[in-house]
Amino acid sequence: MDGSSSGIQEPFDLIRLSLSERVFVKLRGDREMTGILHAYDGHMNLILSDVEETIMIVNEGEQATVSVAKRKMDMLFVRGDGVILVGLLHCTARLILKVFYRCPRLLVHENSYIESNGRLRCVFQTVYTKDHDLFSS
Amino acid sequence: MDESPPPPPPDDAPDAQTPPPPQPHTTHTGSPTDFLKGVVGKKVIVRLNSGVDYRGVLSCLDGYMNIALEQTEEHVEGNVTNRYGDAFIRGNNVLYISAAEAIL
Repeated sequence: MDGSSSGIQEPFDLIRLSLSERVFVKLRGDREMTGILHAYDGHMNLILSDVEETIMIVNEGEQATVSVAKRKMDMLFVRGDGVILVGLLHCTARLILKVFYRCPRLLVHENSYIESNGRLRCVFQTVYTKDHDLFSS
Repeated sequence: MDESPPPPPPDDAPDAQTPPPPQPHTTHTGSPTDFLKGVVGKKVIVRLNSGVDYRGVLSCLDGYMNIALEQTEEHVEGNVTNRYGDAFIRGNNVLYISAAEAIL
């Protein structure tokens, strides 16, 4: 099962599937943020909206402690060289697909696909198997 | 070329089967590119320059070593600190990619 089975040929395809979805971004300097992804480019410059940034601050001293600062921004340009990782939160779509496959009474049609915005568009049909009396119980 | 190993000594023990030259640990020989092609779709450990490890199934990677991982776990000093269904890692942060299961 390689990437081609999920329609991903290159890593940026993963980002493309997350456009207009909320993403998690890990940045240099112990910073993380979540926001809605509006645009990106090959440097991983990002345009995010509705952003919450979390900054981990290590307080040096006798006993090193970590405090967390948060701030919110409406719209943000993130320079690509600060990006370490982009975590995708839309992957529930693929999970749903797996659940459907496991469910004995539902069949996911071959034509199911993940839309460009990352949402799962399912063409499924109900298949009545031997346990179809489950509906009445 | 002047540092090439000496030729094998003449076989003066005819009954003993001469052992083959030492095999590499896996049957996989080839270029780094062949290795990377071999680990696509397999479980890998990606270590970043910061020392953080990401374990997951390698979906794909590109020439910058940008990486797409599935079922990703973030490990910091041996502890799982985060999980992502899918994760994109920007290539400049990558220290190494280690195969976490046998590759053919």
